[in-house]
Amino acid sequence: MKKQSVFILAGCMMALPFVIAPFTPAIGKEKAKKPAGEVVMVSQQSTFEMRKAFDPHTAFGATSTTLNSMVFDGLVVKDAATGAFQPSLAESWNIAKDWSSISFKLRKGVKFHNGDPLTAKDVKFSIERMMREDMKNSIGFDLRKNISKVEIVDDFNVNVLLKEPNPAFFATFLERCFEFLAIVPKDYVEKVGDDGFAAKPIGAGPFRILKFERDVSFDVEAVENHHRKTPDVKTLRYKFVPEHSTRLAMLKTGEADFIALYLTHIPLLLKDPDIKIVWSRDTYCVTLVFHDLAHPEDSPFKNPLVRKATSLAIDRKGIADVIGNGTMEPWGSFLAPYHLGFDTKRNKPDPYNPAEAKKLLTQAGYPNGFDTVLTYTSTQKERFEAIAQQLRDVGIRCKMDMLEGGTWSASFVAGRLRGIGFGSGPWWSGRSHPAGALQSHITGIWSHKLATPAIIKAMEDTERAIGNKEIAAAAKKLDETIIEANIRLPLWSIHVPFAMRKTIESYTPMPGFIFPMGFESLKLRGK
Amino acid sequence: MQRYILKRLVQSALSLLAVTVIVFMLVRLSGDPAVLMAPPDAAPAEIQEMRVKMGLTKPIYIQYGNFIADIARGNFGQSFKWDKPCLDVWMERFPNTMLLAGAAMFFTLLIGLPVGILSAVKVDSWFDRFGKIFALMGQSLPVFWVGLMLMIIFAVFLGWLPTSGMGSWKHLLMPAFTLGWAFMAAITRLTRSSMLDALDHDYIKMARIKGVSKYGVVMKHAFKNALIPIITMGALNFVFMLNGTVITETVFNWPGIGRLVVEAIFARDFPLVQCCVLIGAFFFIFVNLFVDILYAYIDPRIRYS
Repeated sequence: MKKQSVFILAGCMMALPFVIAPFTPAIGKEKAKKPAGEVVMVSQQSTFEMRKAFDPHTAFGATSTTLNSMVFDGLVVKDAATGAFQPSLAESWNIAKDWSSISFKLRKGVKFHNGDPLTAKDVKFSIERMMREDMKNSIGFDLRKNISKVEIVDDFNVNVLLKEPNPAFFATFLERCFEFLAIVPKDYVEKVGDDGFAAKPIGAGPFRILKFERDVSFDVEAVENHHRKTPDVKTLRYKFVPEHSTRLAMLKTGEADFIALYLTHIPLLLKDPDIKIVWSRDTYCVTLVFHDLAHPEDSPFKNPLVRKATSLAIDRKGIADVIGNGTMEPWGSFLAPYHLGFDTKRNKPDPYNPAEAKKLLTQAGYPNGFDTVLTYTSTQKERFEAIAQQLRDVGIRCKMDMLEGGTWSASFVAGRLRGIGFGSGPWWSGRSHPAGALQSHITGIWSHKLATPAIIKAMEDTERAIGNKEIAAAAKKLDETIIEANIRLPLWSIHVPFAMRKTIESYTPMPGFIFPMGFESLKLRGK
Repeated sequence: MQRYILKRLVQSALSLLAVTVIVFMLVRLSGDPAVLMAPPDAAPAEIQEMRVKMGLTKPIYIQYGNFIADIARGNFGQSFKWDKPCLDVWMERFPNTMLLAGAAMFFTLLIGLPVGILSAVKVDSWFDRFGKIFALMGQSLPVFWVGLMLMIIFAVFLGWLPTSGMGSWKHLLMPAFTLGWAFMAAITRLTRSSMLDALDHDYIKMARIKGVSKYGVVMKHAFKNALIPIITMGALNFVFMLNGTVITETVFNWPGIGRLVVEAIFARDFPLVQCCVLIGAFFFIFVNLFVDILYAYIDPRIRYS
């Protein structure tokens, strides 16, 4: 009898999971759930900054990040909510104490879309491919300058060795491992060649490519059991539509579920119950650059009182309220909220005080004001026309010089611009490390030789800092030093809006990125 | 006739040469092409290497000679953005523009000619007034506004047509009508004035006296003679459409030559911009030549003047 009871009990125990399974929807449901549904996305960005589409190693700008992030995977990924680095193809990484190398331990069991397993040889091949001169991508030059060798330790361990210890390199390298350095299957690329790969790209991202027509559209399909997360949506159809009004019409008619929204269209959608607006916050900071500081000739802006007066003459809040529609937030720091060392209390832009500005100009010896040049790009037209008007009110008369984007960037980098003007940066593309975010715009090619010795030292200290506490302290000091030197005025942090139909239940844009990413987290209503 | 054709051929060749000089010089006047094409963070050594590869270190007349020789061989250069020959990129987009231009031309003639003829036949009637207003609207309303209005009415409010893109015949209707809109008005006005002129001639009165039907007088006698300026304008308008209309293609997201030029400009892909401009100019010159010869064939007085 006792023996019988034991058998009955054992039988009941074995049957129990089958009996209760239908009543326990939460257990194991997430893993078993299959991707379903379709989302049509429409954006103005495409692969026009990719020399060979669709080859991620030929990218020379950030506009292709949406496509790259869907189809390809990097060694690291960013958390969609916080922007912090998370393991992806690399389980862990370690920077050598002497700043001479970085080692990656790869995740086991990862497969590319064609079934090839990921190993260290693919990582070495991808980094070396990215470094090839004929790829003409935007980071190859820096990689070639710094990396001496990519060494395979074993199938799942890789070391990247530098030519010489360089802390500054590591402030941006992980960012590049996420954004640009897609890991591609060595055997496949070698078999089909560069052109074959561009025609039929294979990656290890959460979506595999179904159809691709350059600068027109592409369709991707969810990869089931992806090592990071199986996307909820089965098919994403992406269309490249440069005209803002056309995108809006597509959203209204239901031809699109998700669009990149133009700022003047925001008020049209605020009261629409079928549409929800989501924001990618703090994508870049609009600054006013004092170009004259980099030139030997005398200029009113060499007087700190004039630079202070310029700042006080600009009504950051007023301009943001009138033309921003929520996309412009007055800013007083050179750090973004996702940077270590950012302090809300310190993020206080100068107040709008034209009377004080006039007083300072008089003190500086310019009671009747002076003439100068204000350069900006067409994308900044409204903002800088408003600034010019306010500067004129206190006596700083600006000759407006609107430049085509390419001409502006070439002139800026070459240090040919004079007077004052629009400066993009100091941060962009959600760069997490404060030094990595500020490097090129404060001490690098976009600094236009404005950095003072104090700024350069503060930057080096930030680059060399190890551990969050030390990085935060160094970044805070760097921020204070730049503000004190007053080589640029932070004006607004720019938030980028996206609009989606109610068919989409949730999607969180990655902070700091102008172009949407992380679509594996997008959820459809009722799915 | 042969002498006339020869003269026009020489003039066209000279025009072509002038276009190549202008395009060649404009690219160089807008800055060092190597600097313009290099990424902002390119090192000076990389830019110099690019300059050598592009032949920019050679004397300017040799550069121009090479440029002409390349064009003669059908080599318009390598697209910086697409990383393939510019001509191949242009050829990929051309059928799309051809389709749009063909449909737009169809709308232009389908509406422009009958309205113009009827306005002339029923001069000063309510229909003529309608024709005048129609022509005035066509020439004064901007294309982008017409396109967006059509999109709001037929796609957003009525939901009859898709907003944009390429696909079925439904995708073609709004962009073709928008593109044809301004030309439609011009053809209407021209047809009306040419018909009025033709209908005023003695041979028309004679035809009427001889009892030719009203249709025969208008279509067989007057319209045939009024066709010459219409053919000229129609042909040039068609070439204009073939060169890609930036606004219509952008508003309706039509992947044609117009959008290609815009994308090339944004990507600073100067070889591709140069290729599109040159081919466009060649088209204009060729069609002008063709129309001039056709003119001379139809009206012998032209070749003697």
